[in-house]
Amino acid sequence: MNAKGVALLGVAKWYGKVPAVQGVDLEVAPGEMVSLLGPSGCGKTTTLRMIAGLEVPDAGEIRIGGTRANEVPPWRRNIGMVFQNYALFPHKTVAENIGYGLVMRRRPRAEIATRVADAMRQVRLEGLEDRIPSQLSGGQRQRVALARALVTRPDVLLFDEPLAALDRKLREQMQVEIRLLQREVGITTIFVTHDQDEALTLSDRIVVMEEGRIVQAGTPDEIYERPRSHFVSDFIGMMNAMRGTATGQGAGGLLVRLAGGRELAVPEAAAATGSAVEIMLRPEKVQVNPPQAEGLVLAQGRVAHIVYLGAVTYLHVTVEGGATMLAMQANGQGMPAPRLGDAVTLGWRAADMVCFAAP
Amino acid sequence: MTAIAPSRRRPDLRRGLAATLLLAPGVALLALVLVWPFLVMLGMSLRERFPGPIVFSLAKYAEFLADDYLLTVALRSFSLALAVTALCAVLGYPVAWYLARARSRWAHLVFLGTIFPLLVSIVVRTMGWTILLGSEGLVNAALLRLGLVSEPLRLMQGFWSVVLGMVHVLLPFMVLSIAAVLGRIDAAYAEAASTLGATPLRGFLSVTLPLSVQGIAAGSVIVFCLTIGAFITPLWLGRGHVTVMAIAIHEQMVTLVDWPGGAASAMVLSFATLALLAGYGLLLRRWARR
Amino acid sequence: MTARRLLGAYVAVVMLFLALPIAVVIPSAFGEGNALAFPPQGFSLKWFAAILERPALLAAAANSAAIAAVATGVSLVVGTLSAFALRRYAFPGRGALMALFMAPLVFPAIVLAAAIAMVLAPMGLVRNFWGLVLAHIVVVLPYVVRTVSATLAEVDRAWEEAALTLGASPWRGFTSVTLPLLRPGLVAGATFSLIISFDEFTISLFLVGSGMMTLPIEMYNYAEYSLDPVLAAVSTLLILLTTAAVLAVERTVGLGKQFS
Repeated sequence: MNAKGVALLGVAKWYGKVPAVQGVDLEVAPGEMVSLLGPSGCGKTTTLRMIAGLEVPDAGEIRIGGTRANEVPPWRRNIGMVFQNYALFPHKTVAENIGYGLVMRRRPRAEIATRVADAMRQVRLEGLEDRIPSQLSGGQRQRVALARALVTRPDVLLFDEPLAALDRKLREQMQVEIRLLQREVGITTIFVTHDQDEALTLSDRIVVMEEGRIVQAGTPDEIYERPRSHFVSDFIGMMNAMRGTATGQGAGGLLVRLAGGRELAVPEAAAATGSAVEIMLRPEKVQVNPPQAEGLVLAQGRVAHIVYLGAVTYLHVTVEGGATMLAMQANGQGMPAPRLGDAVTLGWRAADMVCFAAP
Repeated sequence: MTAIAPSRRRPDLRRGLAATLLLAPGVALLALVLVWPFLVMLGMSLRERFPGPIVFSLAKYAEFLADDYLLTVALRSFSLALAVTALCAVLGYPVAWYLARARSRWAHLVFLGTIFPLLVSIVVRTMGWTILLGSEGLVNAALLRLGLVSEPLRLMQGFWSVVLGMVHVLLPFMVLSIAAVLGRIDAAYAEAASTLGATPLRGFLSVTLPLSVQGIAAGSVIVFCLTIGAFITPLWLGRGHVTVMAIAIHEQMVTLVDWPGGAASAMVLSFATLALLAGYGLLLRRWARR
Repeated sequence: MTARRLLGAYVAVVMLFLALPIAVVIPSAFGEGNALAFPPQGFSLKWFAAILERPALLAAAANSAAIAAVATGVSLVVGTLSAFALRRYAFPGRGALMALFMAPLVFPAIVLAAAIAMVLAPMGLVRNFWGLVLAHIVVVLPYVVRTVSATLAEVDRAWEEAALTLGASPWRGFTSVTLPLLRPGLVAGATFSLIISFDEFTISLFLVGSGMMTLPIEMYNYAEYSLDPVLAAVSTLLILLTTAAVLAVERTVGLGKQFS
């Protein structure tokens, strides 16, 4: 397949005096699927639009397949883009929508017909050729948009929050479909989303953005397990956050004195002595009444609130010192379910704690 | 990461060029047939005589202000515009409400019925009014037959027949302006008012009406401007008895061949219109900030 | 529900007020008598036939139609380009420019008329077809710019951008995506433009003269010396034409969106 890599070197964009993107460096390998993740206004969409050529960077360089693309207009970049709300042409049929890029490339009519038919088969839309977009369901529109973007065999595929309009179940189904299709085609893909689950499901690599900058880039498990800042850990998933002060390196790692007076040792962490830090611990790492307590960090507390979510249950536990900790228990594992007001012991492995500067 | 200063914005230059090219024909046309004539007219109003030497003075404006006839005419134009605007607002509001809110299956026809007078030639409309209101017209015939009057009333030629004719043709501007705003007001506001104990009337007066003021204002400005500058409807329906600004300007220029004088009157009318529009623009800006 | 009935009745009365002055003209055209009267006496079509014996009216109608067609054609192109620039590009002074394009709509027609005549006279464009066309373009331009830009607001920019990412140059994207989606606005704008130009009175008044008359002014002059049913017959035809045009637009593209 003709996958090309994409590179951004110090790319910046201002809207008037407001900086939208401030010096983004990013390398996407051929065939890689990378998601740009962040809250609205973090510059992720602007970054994507600059890769598409719909916005021109004010500084820096965009390279597609190793050559500078800043001056190349979108219609000569050979990209495929799936827009938010799909942007299917309302006056054209499904087949005309999918074939549009081929018509613009002046392909022979017969070739267009076969390639459109192939693309429709690929996204399982056979028989809907003559429908117009308003007669399609959300999932079908999504597939048409995907087929339209892919049928021209672009070098890079771009997605701008394409699943935001779908309901949860359909969204999860489409996430899997997109991932399978992307692997099959082997195309370099860049994906913008504000949905953490979507980023985790779809990406080889996640790039978290905040205020126009990349704050962390890594594989989904790196981002989830080893976030480098409060912002990243808070944005991806739920967390227990314990504030404290670094008091120096001990045998078990960085020593942190918590606000309540307790001292914890966090392995593989570093911070200047005396600096304010935050310890992050994912709720699913916290065991409730652990059968084997050796080697675990323990805390005693009382169940203050229970959130039952079917597959899992979240327990809000008030521990010594008055802080609340969140523990996640998988249901159906035969574990006795604590009840409101029960005294419980919480335990977790020291290695599951992550420490970074307090925000 | 190094901080990067905003560079020169080449892309904006390219977009700027495209916008300029797209606008060029339209702006050129307006410059030739709107702005330039306006400036020529302004220049004419500052002369003392035409044809004659170019001596710029405000003499014609002074004459205007000293001329009782012209001042009466200006006042008449102003009261006409006021009456027409008020009538359009009162008459049009319920129709706008009907269009925006009633969800009636007739709404479509009402919409067409509302804009139709606007599209029918002034000559046709005037003929209709003559048939209706003339001394041998329908209304007089009915009144005579019913014995309510002994001789035909002079329904034409009066101030109010002009008002009637103007309301007839300008009502769509008012209705559409109000309906556009009413359509944007969430019906939940009125519902919220009713759950808080407001009767439908109080709910309307305290919630919906204040919210729709912008529509009334927009419609009023259009109707007022169009009435104060109206020429042909007062000319035909007034039958020479209702002289308004536009007619006076026409008289000055064409009958009296006093072009500078006519131009000065025209400028007074134009500036009144522009001042009204500018004032409305300021009002809009204030609303936008809320 | 009674409030609803009341509102319905009120609207019906207003509709009657709007329709009556126009509707009474029609029966008057079918009378046999020589005077314009309502109700008309007898029934005949002779006044319609009589139109054909008034060459001045026919020539003026032909002029008006030609002026309306050319002015509409030009303002459709110019207005679409302008509306596109005003809607799709941000630049300083855009609001002022938008106001300038709308100005002929609310500016006193008599002032515009006299001013245009002052400028066109030295150029030899008074009592001239092209002078009238030029003036009419400025009169109808606001209607075109307004309907087109209202429709353009409904054309999602993402559609245009999607075309670009699929390999369409801006021009091809415009012709294959934007223009077809603008069709309702263009049809409505063209219809209004034709009607407004055909009926235009005040501005033409300063620009017409012997040899170059428009229909409304010819009718006005005709009515000055005889108000006979020939005018009612012409008016009836105009009403029918307008109604047909409005209904045609309504059926094909819908008027509601384009006129607010």
